[in-house]
Amino acid sequence: MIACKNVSLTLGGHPVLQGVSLDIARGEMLGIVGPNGAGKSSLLGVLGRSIVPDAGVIELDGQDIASVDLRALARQRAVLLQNTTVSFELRVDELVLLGRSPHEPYETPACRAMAARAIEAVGLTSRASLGVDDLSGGERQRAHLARVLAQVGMGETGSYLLLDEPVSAQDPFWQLSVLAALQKLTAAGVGIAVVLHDLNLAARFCDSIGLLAGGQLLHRGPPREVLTSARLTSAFGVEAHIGDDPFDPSRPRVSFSAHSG
Amino acid sequence: MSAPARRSDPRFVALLLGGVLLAALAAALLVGPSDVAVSRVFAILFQPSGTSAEHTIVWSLRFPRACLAMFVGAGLGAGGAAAQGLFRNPLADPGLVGVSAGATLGAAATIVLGAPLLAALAPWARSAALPIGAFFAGALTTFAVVRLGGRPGRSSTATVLLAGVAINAFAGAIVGFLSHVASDSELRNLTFWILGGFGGASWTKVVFTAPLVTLAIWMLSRSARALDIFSMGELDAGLTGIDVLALRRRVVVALALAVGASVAAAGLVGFVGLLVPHFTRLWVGPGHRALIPLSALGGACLVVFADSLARVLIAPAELPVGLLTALVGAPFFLHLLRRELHT
Repeated sequence: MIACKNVSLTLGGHPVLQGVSLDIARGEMLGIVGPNGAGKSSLLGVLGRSIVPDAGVIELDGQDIASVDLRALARQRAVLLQNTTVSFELRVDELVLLGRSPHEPYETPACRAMAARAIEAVGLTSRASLGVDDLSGGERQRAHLARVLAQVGMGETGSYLLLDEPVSAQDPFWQLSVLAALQKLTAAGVGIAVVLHDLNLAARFCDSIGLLAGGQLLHRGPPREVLTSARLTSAFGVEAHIGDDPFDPSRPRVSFSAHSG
Repeated sequence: MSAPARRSDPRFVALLLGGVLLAALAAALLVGPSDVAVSRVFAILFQPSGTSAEHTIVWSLRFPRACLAMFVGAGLGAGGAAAQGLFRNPLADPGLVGVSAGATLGAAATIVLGAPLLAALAPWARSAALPIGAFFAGALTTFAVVRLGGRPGRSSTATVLLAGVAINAFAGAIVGFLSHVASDSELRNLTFWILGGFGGASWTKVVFTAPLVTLAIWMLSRSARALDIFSMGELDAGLTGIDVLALRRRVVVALALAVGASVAAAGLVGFVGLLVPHFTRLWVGPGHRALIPLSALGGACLVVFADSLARVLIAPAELPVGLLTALVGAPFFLHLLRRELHT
């Protein structure tokens, strides 16, 4: 379990996170949603140790992550950021193999096979020997996703994924394929925290949802509990209507009206 | 749809470049203003002691000069690959980003300000003082450029190169000042050395340059995997288990060793660190484990060959070798810069 307790963060004098406590269990997909500037990416950064909070602790399986060796941590959890650029002309398979670099032995056939599995999971097998710079924006996003999937060995060597908007550049087909692939990983015991802008994707795929606004965690629970009309209207400032997902009526479906709530 | 990015087998490229290096070394032993027959050159090579003029030409002039050119080229080639990895920028040539200028300043300061101290030292210690001065000033300037132009998220081509322009101008001004206050003999030393080239090659210089360059290449090769991961940027490298600050320190020290030793031995031989890693990367791909040693090998080939050319083009006079590399390198740099700014 990755757990943060009472985490607060101030950036440039502005409070970004205020007393956030949250945990992600193995086998669970937690969707982090909220308006722009709510602190979603910062929360992910704090959970991944790329940002050090002003107060609070983050524990990975009961151990304070500040005391864990960087490489050991990289074997346990992988983080997908929003805008990663690669400075040289790496190929997709070379990029994904970098995800295995915290592990020993590296660059072995087994290691390459793992990278190939990750590439297949995001549907890039036919693009594996192309340069990352030659891909479309959506393909590049999936290539980096494959890299972090390889880093946790598709759940066989690592246990947690922290993903910042992994489907923001995907068309509907790939949004569904990528999230379904992630769901499969949770079934294999991986714990995933994923920042999503599309509330309906979060409602469809996540086991629980954390609603963040103004640096505070307002609610956390199953989609039906968190995604209510009153809560969304107050968090986003536009009127929210909740119905049933036509493809899976057990899940909520959100629509917004431009009229302010 | 674009074609798959092809990569040649690094072992094949290593064999090929090794062959080219042997040929370049052989050529360097054979050519020169005075005629020594091919058969004589190889006969003399196997008898290290002798007193004939031909023997002196081969063993005291051509052979140490070819060896020095080889190590300087290796240092500059590997140093270029490392600088580009460190700045995450294919245009980061050690000369352009100011590392060489810093090393030059260090060596010049050693010659002029350290003159009283140097005079008291044994000749071999004098030979050691120059690379040491070049190393420390080179390391200092590299850290300065990293701080000025290599900050996270802002490490654009423009900022890195502009930081280099500033450092180059500053170091140039101080070297100018030093040559102004230098005594006649110091000035002769300084000028001879700033012009660059391998005219002053000796076995003593080889003995001081070879271990430093070898050590630097070894250190850089050990950081190869970390440099690969670093190509994704500081943040992602950290998340993938790399201690970014430690990596940076290691690479800066090794880079300053390689470039400092090269500059101390031969003055400024520009653009080798830009040309060689660029073509090596096109050949074997951007992975540093192959790129660093192969850039060293390629740099050695280029500089040994360029120095032979410099000796014969206007024989019996010789061209400064840095002039030749700049003649080829500068237009090529402009070409790369144009491409970089248009994408």
